[in-house]
Amino acid sequence: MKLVLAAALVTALALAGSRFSFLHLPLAGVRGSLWVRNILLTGTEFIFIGLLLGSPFLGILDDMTLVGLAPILGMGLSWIGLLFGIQWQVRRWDGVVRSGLLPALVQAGVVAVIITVPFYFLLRWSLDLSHAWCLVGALTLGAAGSDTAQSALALVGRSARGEGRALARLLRLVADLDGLVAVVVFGAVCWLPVLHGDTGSVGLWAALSVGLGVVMGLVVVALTSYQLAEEELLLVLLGTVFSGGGLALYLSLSPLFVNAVTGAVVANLSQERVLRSLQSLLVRGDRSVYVLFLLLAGAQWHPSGWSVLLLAGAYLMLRTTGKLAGNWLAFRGVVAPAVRGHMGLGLLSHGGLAIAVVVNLQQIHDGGSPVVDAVTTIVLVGVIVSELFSPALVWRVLGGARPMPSS
Amino acid sequence: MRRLVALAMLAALFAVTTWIDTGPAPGATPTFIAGLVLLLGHIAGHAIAAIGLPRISGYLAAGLLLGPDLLGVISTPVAGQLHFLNELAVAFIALAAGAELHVAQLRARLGLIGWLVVSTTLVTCLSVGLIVFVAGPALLPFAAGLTTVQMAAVAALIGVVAVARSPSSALAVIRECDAHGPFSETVLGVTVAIDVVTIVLFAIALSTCQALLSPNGALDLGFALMVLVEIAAGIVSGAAIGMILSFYIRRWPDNIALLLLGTALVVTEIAHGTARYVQDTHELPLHLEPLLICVAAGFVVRNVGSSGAAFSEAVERVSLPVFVLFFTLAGASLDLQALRRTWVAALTLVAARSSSILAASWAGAAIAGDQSSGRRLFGFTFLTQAGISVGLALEVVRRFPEWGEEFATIVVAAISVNQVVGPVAMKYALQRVGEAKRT
Repeated sequence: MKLVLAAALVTALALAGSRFSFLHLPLAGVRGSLWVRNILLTGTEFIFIGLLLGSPFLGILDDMTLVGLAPILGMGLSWIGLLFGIQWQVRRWDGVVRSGLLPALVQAGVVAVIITVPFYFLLRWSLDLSHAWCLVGALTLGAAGSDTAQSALALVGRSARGEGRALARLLRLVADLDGLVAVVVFGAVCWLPVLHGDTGSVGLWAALSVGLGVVMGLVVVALTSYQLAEEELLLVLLGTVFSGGGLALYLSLSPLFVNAVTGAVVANLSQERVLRSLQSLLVRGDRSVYVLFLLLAGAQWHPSGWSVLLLAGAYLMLRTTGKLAGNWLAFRGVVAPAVRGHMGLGLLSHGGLAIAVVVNLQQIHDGGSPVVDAVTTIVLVGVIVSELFSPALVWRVLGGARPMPSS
Repeated sequence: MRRLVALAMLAALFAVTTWIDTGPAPGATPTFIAGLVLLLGHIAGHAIAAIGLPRISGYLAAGLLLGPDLLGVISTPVAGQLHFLNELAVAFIALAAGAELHVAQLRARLGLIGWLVVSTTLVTCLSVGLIVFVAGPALLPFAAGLTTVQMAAVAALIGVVAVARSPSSALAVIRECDAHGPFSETVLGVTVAIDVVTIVLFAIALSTCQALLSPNGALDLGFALMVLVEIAAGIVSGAAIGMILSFYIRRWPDNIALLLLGTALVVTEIAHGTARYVQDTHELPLHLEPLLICVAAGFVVRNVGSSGAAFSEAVERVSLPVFVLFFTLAGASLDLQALRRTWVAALTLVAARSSSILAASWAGAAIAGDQSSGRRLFGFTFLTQAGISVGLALEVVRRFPEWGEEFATIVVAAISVNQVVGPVAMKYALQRVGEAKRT
């Protein structure tokens, strides 16, 4: 009874959330201090609603119920992974994407390294964890931190005028592409034998991850090579999302990574007509899946002690430093030095993939491990704080935008 | 060929994954089995359609193959984990069936629908019951020690169960054939109406049998009254839910599929929860039927207010995955062992039911004065059977534990045959009448 009512409640909230959140705010509204309003506009309030419904408070989404809802989470992770991967259609890339890809990946890579290395030692020191678990925690934080969410850029970017408009386009492109680092790094975390009861090797789990994604992609390509009506495409899409996610979870691999590989295979081997239809179907459910994730991430959150809040502060500082340094380094010769110095502040928006990464870790490592609780708290606090400030920071960066003249 | 390659790749993935198995994460098994069911159902549906049979037969065949009696991929514990999805699918299909009943279109055919309901109900119930009564222990070994009166009671119960149909199968075949027209609308109207009639008849038969079969039994009028209350409560609550849905869709017409999913979940659970609550607190066996609530809700949305068309369109867009899931899981639940043990009795019941439905439908259409080209073909569309009849058989097990199990085994075996044969006959009729736009 409780499981189904919880599922109905979560569905209703996802439905309401997809309708009422993510409203487009006019630029005039961003100039002042937005604070809580930012949270509401980016959907971050659903983390708090989830926390309220979770076991620490109302207990509607308690641990048992969340285990029952695991298939929905597995499907959601696969959905996001597939949507991410299906955008990597190499043959359609224009010059802008090709020139922006490397800098985007470099800046995300820098952020991942700047977070991962100190956090390996911080986790070891503060939580007294083994080498393997510190690696899992630090790499997960690095993966989550490297991604840039689109929410603040979507709120502010479209209202930018003049010189700011070109920079807004560049920032959105970076935010589109840098998720690759998050997906791959977290995918690699799931190759560590410690997550498989110390069986197998990194190479075996890596090969299985990639192989699973490629084979599922080929299945989709084969099944959609016939002329199919939209409802049949939806059937194949749902079958793929459930199978890919379930098989990945069965092997304690990342559904995000496996389905991103599937998506990339589909993007590059499918017919154009099929690809457009699949993208349209995936985008249609995207908001609801995102709200669902925010809710369930909040519900699975067991806020840890004050020491973890200090770690969350460190995470925010390292992520900001990483974004500033990464962009300064990656966009040399692309953006004017004066803008490059603070361009990273325009990429602090946090959510989406970062939350998916945390949910994915919770899925494959059940059992209230201290590292999972700590990583969840750190990332969720990071998302909440970032979403408070990032629209105003994006506005500031765009206001001072002066793209470098092409040489 | 490409579908065969996809099938081979899926089989290889499944084999490798289960061979490696290092202790799956929670929820992994039902998630990937649900995906496998959808993809294999899709492949099997197309394969079977290539030889002219309805895709629903392919879904059933895929389920049978994956089920516990053959490959064992959908083992009994896994089927238990997927039961949640199955119930959701039933409620969703009922919403869709309700939405197909458009009063403006049905009004002209109410007389025909009424005569078909009356004739097929009476003739099927009486003739199947009579055959069972006459054959007695030769057909039903468990009836060896029963008196004549008790045998009559058992025959009446089997007769009533034989009346039940499968709105879900009917709707699935109509959707698959993209059938539109007076024949298809009449068929669906009769099928839904007969399910309601069956519930009432069954309640009356069960009360009567209990009185006849227990030594100190008296006619349990309370039980019959309770069934009438259940039906009224189901229709009223369904209508209320339909009004709310209609209002919501009128105001916010996006994302209806997610809304319907949530509605199906809530209805299913509240119906079961209310039954448990009333049983625990008042010891009353109130059993709100989610199917009836959802049909009533779908009917109200379709016929009250202006959101009917948007609702039907949204239901149609997402109904295929629901059908595939439902029928493949239904295929997995077909009991081959029971069929092997009781095939003579099961096939006798199937033959008796089919012939009486064919004759009664022809007679009903003739009495109603139907002159359409489909008047001789109605019977072929009423052979499907599933869902509610299994529920009725299980109720007999609960009420009469001494012989209920054997009764249910024979009835479920017959239902399994009807579930396989019914859609094929229905597709044939829709094609012959000329309302099937897709073959």
